[in-house]
Amino acid sequence: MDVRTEISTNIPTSRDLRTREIRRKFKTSLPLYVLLLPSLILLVIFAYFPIYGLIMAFQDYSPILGISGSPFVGLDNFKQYFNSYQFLLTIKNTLVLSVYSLIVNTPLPVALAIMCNQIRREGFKKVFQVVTYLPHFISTMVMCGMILLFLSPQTGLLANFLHLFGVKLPDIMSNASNFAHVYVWSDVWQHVGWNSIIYIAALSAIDPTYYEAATMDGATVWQKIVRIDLPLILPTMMILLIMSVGNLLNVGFEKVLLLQNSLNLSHSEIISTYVYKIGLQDSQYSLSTAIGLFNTLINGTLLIAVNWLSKKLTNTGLF
Amino acid sequence: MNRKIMFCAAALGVLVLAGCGKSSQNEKTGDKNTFTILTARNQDWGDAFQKGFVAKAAKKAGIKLKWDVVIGSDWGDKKSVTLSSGKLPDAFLGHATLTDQDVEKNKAAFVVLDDYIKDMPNLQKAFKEDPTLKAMCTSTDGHIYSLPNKLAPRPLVGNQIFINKKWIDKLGMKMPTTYKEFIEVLRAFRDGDPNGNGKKDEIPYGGGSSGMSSEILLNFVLPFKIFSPFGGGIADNIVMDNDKPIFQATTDRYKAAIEAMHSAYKEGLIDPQFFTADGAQVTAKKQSKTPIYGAAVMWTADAEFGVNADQYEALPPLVGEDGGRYVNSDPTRLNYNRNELVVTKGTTKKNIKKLMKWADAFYTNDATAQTMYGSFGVGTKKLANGDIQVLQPKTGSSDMFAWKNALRDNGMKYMQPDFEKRLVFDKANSDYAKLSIDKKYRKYALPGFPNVMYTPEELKTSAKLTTDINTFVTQKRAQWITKGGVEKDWNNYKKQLNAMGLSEFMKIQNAAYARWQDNLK
Repeated sequence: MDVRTEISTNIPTSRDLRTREIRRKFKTSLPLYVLLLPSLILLVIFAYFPIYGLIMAFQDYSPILGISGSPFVGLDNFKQYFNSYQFLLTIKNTLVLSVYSLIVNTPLPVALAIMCNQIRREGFKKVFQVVTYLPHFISTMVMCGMILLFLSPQTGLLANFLHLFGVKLPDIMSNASNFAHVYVWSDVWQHVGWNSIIYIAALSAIDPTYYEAATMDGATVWQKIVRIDLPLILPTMMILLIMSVGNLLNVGFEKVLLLQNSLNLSHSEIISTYVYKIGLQDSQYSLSTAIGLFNTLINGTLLIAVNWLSKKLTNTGLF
Repeated sequence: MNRKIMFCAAALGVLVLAGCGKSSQNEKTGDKNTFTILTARNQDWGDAFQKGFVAKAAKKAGIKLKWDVVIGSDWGDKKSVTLSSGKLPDAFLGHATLTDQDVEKNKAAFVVLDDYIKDMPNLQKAFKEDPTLKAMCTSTDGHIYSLPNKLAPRPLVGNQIFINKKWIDKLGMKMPTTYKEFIEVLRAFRDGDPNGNGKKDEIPYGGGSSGMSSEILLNFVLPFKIFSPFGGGIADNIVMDNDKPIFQATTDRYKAAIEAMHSAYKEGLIDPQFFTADGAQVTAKKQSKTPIYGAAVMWTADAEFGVNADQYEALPPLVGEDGGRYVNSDPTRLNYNRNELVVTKGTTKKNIKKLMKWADAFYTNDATAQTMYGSFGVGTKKLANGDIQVLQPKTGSSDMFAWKNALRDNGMKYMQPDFEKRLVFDKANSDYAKLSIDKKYRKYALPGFPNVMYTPEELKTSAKLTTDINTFVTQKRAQWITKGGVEKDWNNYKKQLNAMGLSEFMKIQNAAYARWQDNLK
């Protein structure tokens, strides 16, 4: 009579098995979880906990009343921004700067990494790498000062250099249409070396046997780059592209603000500088939160879209 | 092994918690006569301001002060955290701590001072002598939440043009008296190599940089009756015309002025980098060994021109297009302030009357001199006849000495206008330099648009309008001066401003101005 029950108590169900398995795994990797804990705490405190501050975007916030006590105003703050004269202008300028910078800044580090990878002399390769990524460590503040000094039409480095050949440098910073070029190409100079490091790492991880086989088959250097290097670092490229699209509207705020002047304002007023002026300088916390939230929503949508596209086309994606 | 790790993790957790818990120091609120006062100062100013008069007055009023001195540059970031933390100091001292927006939006946290002010004899006397003082601090709801000050001794003339007198003499010219002559002199600066280095490196009119306020630019066209309020902000383009606030940047005289500036720019009389240089470049040019600037706008020459300061003199107000002479004057922003003492509601159980007695002691001639330049025996000296001598520091600038040893521009102050003459200055004092220029030209000062107060609703609307309108005006102005085209753009520009809500913006200004006028009565 009790044969069946006996069996069922002795042989664990699949569910029991799973919990036991999980418990065992947890026990063996406990040290890893402990290592993870501090960063998890930091993430929760500094990234997830503050999210509740977004409520401010729907309130007429006053610091004394706090988030719990400030009156709700619905979508008023959003309406105020959408009706603003600056709305389309700031969006346009932000998109121009970010898309331009994305187009330029995605292929160039790859090119640099491949170039670097082709250098055969170890010593020169190291020097080359360090020299290209060193400008990355210059602070934005100093960087903008340098840009303004170098481009000064009377006393600047560039003006003096061109003067040797009898060429007169135009006043670049006073021409609004130049702003995007100055912004993007100075960014390239500063960050291309740094951004290429990850590709150099990806390239060095490629199995040398591929190259050996290719050499045996008589492939040229160019063919090796196109047929081996590029396909193998494509997943890295796609991931980085997706991540930078997620930051598309977060154009470097300090840099734009520091390079702004009244002559290039028509092309240099972006969402974040506008938020700064209207929100922090005029203490309109709610309005600036609303604009910030709007910014984040666009970023999120773009991120998901590009991730989907990338999964369709190259089978790589963040999630 | 596992235990060790757990122990480490626990220790780490304790450390993190300890870091968080530090701020919850228990504050003794039991003492009814001890007040915590928060004030903002620069890092290098120190705490010497707490001694002398400020401490003596507290003793006399029977209160104890606990100072919470925050660094001015950090305060902007810390402010909203402090306000929302619920742990407010008993009072905020100095207009560097709270802005109008902060007070208006957080009224719920501050004590209405109306009843206490009735028992402040010195302040009452000051209100009677100078109604502006009362209008400055009366909020939009008719109550008083903060104490005001009137800085003294102070000039009526704001930033003004300083011109290289040595160059003028060298070129055999005279100090210009009209706009035409001014342009002639600038042309001669451009062509005559007045600094004598054989190079054509002179900049006739300079000093502008990308972050400048309007006055640096617009002093050039002052003869066109174009004014520029001190420090910009909401009222950057609002001036008084026949006792009415008007928007200056759509007037015909503004158009004429911009046209004149464009032709001066085209001729090379204005620094080609006027709108694009950064501050460091401008300072370098001002202080270069061989002077480069012919004229530039500033407070006093000795503060800015370095070794060549003695070559520069204040340009007398030029005879304008309409025959009048004008100076930029903005007394309610230059010399008056509010939010000098804001008392928080946490003090309701304390003896606020005594705190206000302490505050009232500041509104006398002697107290104002001491809080402006340093207490008797430190920065000032009471002379036998009742005059007050301002002592000159043995080393360093007198301005820095005053900031270190006194509240200077912050805190409660009022001096009777007649008493200002009884302050004895050393000629090397930096205030003296400005005051002696001011003595000559203050008669030309016209009333500016007062530093009015806005309701929270007005502030909310005008924050957006101000940013949009003022940015557009500044942008167009820079474009017209450097590239021309004001004639062509003018109608579209006016249309655009109207589309941005200029009429709503001016309605707010007029309403605020009407309230101001009521408060003067």
